[in-house]
Amino acid sequence: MARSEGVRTMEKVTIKGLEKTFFTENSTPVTAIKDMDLSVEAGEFVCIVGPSGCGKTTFLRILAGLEKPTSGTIAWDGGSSQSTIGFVFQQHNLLPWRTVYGNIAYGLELRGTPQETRDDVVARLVSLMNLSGFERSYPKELSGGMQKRVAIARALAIDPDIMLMDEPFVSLDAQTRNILQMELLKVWAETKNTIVFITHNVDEAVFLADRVVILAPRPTKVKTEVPITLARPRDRTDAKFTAVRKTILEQMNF
Amino acid sequence: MSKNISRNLLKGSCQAFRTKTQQGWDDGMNRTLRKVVLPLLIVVGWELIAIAINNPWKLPRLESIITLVIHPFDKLLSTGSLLENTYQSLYRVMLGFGAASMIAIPLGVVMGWWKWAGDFFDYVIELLRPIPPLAWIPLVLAWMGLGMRSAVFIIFIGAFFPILINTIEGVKSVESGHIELAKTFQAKQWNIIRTIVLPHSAPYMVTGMRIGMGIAWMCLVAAEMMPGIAPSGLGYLIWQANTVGQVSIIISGIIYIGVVGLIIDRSFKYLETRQFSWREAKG
Repeated sequence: MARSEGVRTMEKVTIKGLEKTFFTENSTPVTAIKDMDLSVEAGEFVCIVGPSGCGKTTFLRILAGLEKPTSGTIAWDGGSSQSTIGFVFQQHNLLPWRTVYGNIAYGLELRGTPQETRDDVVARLVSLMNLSGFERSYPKELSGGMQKRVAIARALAIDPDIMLMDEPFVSLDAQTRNILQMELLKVWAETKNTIVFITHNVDEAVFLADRVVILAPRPTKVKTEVPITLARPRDRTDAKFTAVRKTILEQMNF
Repeated sequence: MSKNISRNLLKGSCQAFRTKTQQGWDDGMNRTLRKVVLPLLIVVGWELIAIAINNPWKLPRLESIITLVIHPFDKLLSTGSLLENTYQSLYRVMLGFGAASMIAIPLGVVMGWWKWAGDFFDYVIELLRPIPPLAWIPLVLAWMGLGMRSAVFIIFIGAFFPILINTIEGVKSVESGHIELAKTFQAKQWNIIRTIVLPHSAPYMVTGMRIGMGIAWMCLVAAEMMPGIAPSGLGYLIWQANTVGQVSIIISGIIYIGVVGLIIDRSFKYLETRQFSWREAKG
């Protein structure tokens, strides 16, 4: 990833007055998101938490351009309307007919990146995500944790301006989940990516994020934000960690 | 103590495993035996009845058929050898089948991907699909006259619909998540079709081609029995043998049709399982 360390504004993305209204089958409008404001700084790791079905995923899909907002603005890097996005889906969403190599290289292929560059990028991501020796394997031959690693590597491969992660670790067992959280932090420290990470797991949010954004349920908007200033690597058993967790849980009315 | 128990358990499970594989092997043998019993009985029964009725125009002895089958280069009647006729038949089937594939696959992709195209063709396809290919013969003869073209066209009709229907189904079953993935990489529509839709539906296309090929092969014989078709092909050979009462040639022709059909079907099956081994086991 030949990252151009050019001039960057501090704000990676600024969302103002976002609203999303769906129409149900009998044409009744349902407002999923209303008056949502949020900005994410370049290089920041933001976790968004909120109760199930509160429109977290819808919000992320709008950010990714998979859905159009009803109203409101999304400004990337202080002005431009487009941005390269690395999306990590809730299901691994790998292409079953492509090998691990082919899946990681997929985004690069679509962009017409030359073969040699692709090989380099994939080789580096394979070692970064501990996938060595599996380049020629097909997704069905991999464990759930490995599939997730490939999905993350695929998103990283295009050197995205922002990583959007939709509850990526939700289907994994607790141990694999913890390992992948640590690996993700390692990757983030190395690539200095901006990450917006959705989860309903407060423990995960406190472990990962620079800032936890708590959403209020329908219509969704930002209820409050909690900066996490704990030093990394974080210790889940630490009293301060537990205290931050408690604050957030209280905010979520659990 | 606990070590002992676990060791015994391990031993026990090893033994269980051994008897299980032993049993599996026996089962396999038994199954093979069970499967060959009926064919053997038929062969023996055939020969006994053939000897009893002693009439080669009704039921020829196995020897006369085997002699014909194992001499594929011998000239038969006025039509050439079994192999030449097989080649002629294969050639016609490949023409009709190839044309059907070349039209049905692109059309299926278009109909499956663009809803308006699917709607546009829907009624016509649904109306034509259930018509047996052979019902077209009189019409085809009126339009195209006697000859090769008519035979190929009948085969084309037989192969066309299974390929089309399976292709449409493949395209429609593309996972929305895969399309969204491509969209997050800002893929253009053509690239979505090329990198998501086509690889996903390729196994469906091959399944359609296998079924279409089976039907094409069945239509062939009937097409070659049409009057005035080029004087060659297994169907023609069977028809000629019939007019001169050569039952052993008829049966030899039938055997060739069956064997060639089986080989083609197995080749497609091999392609399906081998080429698309990436597919997740359905279960």
